[in-house]
Amino acid sequence: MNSHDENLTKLCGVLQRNTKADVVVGPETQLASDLEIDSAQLMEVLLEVEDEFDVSIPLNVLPNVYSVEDLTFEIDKLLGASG
Amino acid sequence: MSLFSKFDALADRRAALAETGAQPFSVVVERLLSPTEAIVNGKPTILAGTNNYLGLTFDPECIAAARDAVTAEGTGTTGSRMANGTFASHIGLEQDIAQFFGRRGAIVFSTGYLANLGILSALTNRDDVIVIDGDCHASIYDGCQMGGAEVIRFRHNDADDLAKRLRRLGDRAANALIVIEGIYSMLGDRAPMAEIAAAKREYGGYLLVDEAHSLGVLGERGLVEVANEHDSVDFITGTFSKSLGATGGFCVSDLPELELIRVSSRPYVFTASMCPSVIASTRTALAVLQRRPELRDTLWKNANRLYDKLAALGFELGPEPSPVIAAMVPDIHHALAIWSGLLERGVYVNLVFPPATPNGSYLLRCSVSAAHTSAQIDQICEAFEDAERAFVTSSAA
Repeated sequence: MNSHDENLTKLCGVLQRNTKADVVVGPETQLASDLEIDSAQLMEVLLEVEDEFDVSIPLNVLPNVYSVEDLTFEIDKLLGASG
Repeated sequence: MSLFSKFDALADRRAALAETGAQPFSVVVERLLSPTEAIVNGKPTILAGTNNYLGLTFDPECIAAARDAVTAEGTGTTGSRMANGTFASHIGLEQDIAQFFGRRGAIVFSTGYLANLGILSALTNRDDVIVIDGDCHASIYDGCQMGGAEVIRFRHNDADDLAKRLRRLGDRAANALIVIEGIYSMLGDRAPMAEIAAAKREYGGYLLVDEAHSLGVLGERGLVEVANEHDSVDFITGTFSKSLGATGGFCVSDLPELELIRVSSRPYVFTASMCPSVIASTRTALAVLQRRPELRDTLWKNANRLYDKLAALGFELGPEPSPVIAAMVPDIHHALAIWSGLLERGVYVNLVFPPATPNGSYLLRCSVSAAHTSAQIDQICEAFEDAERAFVTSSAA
């Protein structure tokens, strides 16, 4: 079982290789604005994130996901990760 | 922050679009001349973006049936079936459509959008999980959202990705609802029905197929029929507004619970029901569809002709010929130039922007009709060629 920090690091890696923005992806990075990718591209990146963690992220949770940290918490829940 | 602040970004985009001179969402069809031709901007225009697959909107039999019904039963039902009562013709249409699909029961809805909204929102709730193809229509997304179920997307037309997601669900897969479409509305590609059905058989669950764009196009009944997967599919939804030339939607199923869904479905219970003239033309069109298979032959001849010619001109198209043929262009300026150029040359197609499109592409989406003549198909292609050439020339200048 991965810890929250391990999941965060892994997620940042996936997002970093999918952004063309001059940004270092971290917990406070805003998914909708800081990565400089549109909503359709973001949905494609989420498919890659799901494969990386072998989880399916329900669409229902996305309206409350703004930052990389928010998304990490959702992945933690799906994986039953420890803090 | 006002009530309308949320529209600021949209207003900016509309203003930017207006500055280009193109008005893709303000096209007025001033007068219809036939299923495939109308007066637009004062001049005859070939309609190549109206989903009128079998060209039945001016079919004399359908018009006569509608005229007789409006005379006998009036212009509307003035309310829902739950409140105002069911007309005999509602039941007649439901019997026709159930028999046509070889299913035990049918529910008809006032539009195709409401059919998906009504079935998905009533069938599922927050305890359920729905697994949908990522390219499903907005009505499917909205129906899922209205029901409140957990919604998981799988990669478009990727049965392995579906299987992976069903595996991740574990025991919950047995009650999951899988949703796909027969032909996808943007690129015209069909679902890999056999592979999807195999994933369902391996992991369990229920399967709903939306045949909105494939009814009367793939065989008589759509993808489930031509893939010979009748027994793998639990629900089929669709619309009367495309190949049947009217309006309305339906769901058919062998499951007896369909009647419980009917009385639980808010988009069914709280909407005015289909009006008699529309029911009459739909029932007649359904009979015509079965009696005149040559319409489908002509449709596919036209579809293949347009697809092959546009491909030969160098346009990037969807993966397979179908009556939905979309030319993909990389940016909005190119898309607007071609779309406006086509309209100037007397051809109307759909201009579709992200996020309604797959992969963030800009689409010049054509839909072919059995009522198009070969000469009209050639005119559409010539207009594409000329508009593209004009764009390239202006870009180079």
